[in-house]
Amino acid sequence: MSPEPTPSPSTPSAATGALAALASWSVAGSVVSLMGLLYQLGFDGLAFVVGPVAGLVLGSILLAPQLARSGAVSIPDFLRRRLGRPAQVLAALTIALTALILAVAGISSAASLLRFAFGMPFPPSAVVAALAATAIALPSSGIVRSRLGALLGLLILAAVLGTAFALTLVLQGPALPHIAYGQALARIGDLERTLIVNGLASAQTLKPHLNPFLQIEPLSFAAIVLSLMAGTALLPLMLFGASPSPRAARATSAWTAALVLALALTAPVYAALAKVQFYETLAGKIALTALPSWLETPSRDGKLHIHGTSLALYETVSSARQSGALDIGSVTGKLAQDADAAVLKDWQALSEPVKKIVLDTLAAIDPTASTPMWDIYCGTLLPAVAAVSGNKQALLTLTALEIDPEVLILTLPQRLGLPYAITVLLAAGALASALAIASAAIAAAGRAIAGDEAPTRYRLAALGTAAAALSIAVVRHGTIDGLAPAALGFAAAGLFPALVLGLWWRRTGGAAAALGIAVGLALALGYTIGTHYAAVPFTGTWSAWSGTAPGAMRKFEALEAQWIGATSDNARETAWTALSALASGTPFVPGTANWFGIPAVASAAFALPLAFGLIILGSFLPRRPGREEADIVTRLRQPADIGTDE
Amino acid sequence: MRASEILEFVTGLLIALVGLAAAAGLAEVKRMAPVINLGVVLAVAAAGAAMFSHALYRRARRVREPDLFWLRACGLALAATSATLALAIALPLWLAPLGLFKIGGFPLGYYAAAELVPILLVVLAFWQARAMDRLDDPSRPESDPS
Repeated sequence: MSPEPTPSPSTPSAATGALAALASWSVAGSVVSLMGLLYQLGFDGLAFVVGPVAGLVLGSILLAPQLARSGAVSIPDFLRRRLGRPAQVLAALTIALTALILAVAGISSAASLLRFAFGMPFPPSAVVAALAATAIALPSSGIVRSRLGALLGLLILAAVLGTAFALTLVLQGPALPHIAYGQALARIGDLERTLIVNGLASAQTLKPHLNPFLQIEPLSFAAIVLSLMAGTALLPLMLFGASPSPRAARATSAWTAALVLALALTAPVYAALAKVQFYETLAGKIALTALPSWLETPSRDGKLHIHGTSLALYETVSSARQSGALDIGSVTGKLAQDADAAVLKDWQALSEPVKKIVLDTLAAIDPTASTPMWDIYCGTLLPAVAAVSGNKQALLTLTALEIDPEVLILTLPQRLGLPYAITVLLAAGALASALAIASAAIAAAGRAIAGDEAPTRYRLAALGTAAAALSIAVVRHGTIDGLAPAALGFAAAGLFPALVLGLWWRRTGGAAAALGIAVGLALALGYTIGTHYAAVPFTGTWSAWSGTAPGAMRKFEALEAQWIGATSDNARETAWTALSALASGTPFVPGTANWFGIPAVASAAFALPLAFGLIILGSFLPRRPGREEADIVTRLRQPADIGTDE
Repeated sequence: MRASEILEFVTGLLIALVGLAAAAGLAEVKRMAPVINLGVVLAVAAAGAAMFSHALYRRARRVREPDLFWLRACGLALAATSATLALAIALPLWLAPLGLFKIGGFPLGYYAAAELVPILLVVLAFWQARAMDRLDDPSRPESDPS
């Protein structure tokens, strides 16, 4: 039997490990992103709470203790000893890819929060976020990283729970937020009805918060839970490696699940309170010419759109106009050359009459007057755009509005009149969460690329990962969504079947496991890329498997005909923008490009059964297990204390 | 295989197949019995799977006595995994219709899915960890492989 690795004296305690794992637990870029997702999806968003909590439980049952029992220090280490080198290399690649995507999500989220807090532009905010995350990830000692992670975990818990208690105190008096928010849930239904009756929301587009499966079908809900569950089960092992013993692994996993429970139960509280507060504001009938001042910053950051326009777009078009682009075509060209990808996308999505109004109102600005752009946007542009969009009263309506829910969550304490310190505390907690995710992901990628025992190579690999993540975050700013759950899906698709079977089934073969990892990862990647970046051809190729309603499919065909038959570049571009938006949908709610209505974030739901099937079938081929493999299989089937005594 | 094991295996398999068949033709089933949804049929299929797995476990335990620790560990992992899947996937789907009912203004379906399910999952994690710790304890007879 190969020598049992001696547990290091610097191994973190169960409490430290659990706090560090808590800090990096989130299925979105940060804990506030998760709250935003719950705001946006209502009942259906609970898949992003239940799935990850269940994943931690599944990891504590199936993976962490058995991995510790095997004596391996990490997933690639176990796969090398149990299933051979090809499985190890593929697993390391899967972990590096997953970690890179998680690092991009964490850095993007942290940069957005820095921008929210200090008003810095996105690129320098992203650099600051990447530097901070790298500083936490660079110590090669796992215990130092764990302690830093644990500190971030404490800050997150204090921020999320402290703010929730403060909000509940203001709204409902002294009460436990998790019980008191039941009143807020009941109030949401009344407000939704009020908004519809007063013409401030459309009954066709408003999705009641409490009604299940309005945005995500039951099958998709189950697929998302399954995908997130398998991905989150692997997450602590990918980010922090194996525990020294099965008992320690079980203690850490169970305490992680308990600490995460505090966040998981509190996230829906924020979503409900933010929705009640915002709907009450809307029900007060706000004129577009007199928007509240707190909406200016999100509009300038492109996080608030009214009738498809934002202050960010208006200012960018104004700059393009000043540099000589006077008509729609030349503005489009100028934006394609100089502007953010998100701003260009917003401009392309506007209808021709609205684009014309934007240019006309900019032409009417008196260059000698020093009227703030926000006042011109609210006072001149919005009423004109509202008139052509059918919003005759020119009121702020739910139909006209598109706002990043994270803004509503982060500004909630301030809007309720709580001291500014509470807003700062919540933002600090969210920032800690984003940095913890980014730093743990950078460290995991560094370990996966460099191996487990090489400090210099580890640091170089971590720096390379941080630089790559920063570049992607800056270049793709504003156009990437749903990265963290997609990354968890890739990890699940690649690693989960091979790891579970390798740990629990004696017959599992190395070649079959390598094939399962490669095919599972390829399928999940292919499905995500196909449904997002090649959504139009995907819809055409797989229309027989699509779970799209016939009405949406007819609309797709009509837009496709419009795009093919377009006679001018502008018309072709507008038709293509509408066609791609319809085909790709969002990462959480699929467009016409899908198999059986399953969204891209649940790609592992297809990959898991296929990879399990391939590994099981392939393992029946005759082969002769090596000595090390036989040793590790024997160790896995013995009680922990006997295994270590030998 | 003993007669009782065969009976349990066949019954479990049939229940699981009925659950899967109902899932495949869910639209028809819902027309006949509107309260039955995906969560219910998945729960039925899971109960069937648990039953035939238990039959296999009973047989394995009887035949392979020296592997008692491993068999118990596998049985516990299988039971806990099934419970996790049932709580995380079947239960939220089944709870959805409860949203129609409110107690003191609280919408039951949402509240149960958001609060009850995660709490039950964490309780399960602690229960499983405790049970497995006991199994791993060398002073207990079932952890002795000799």
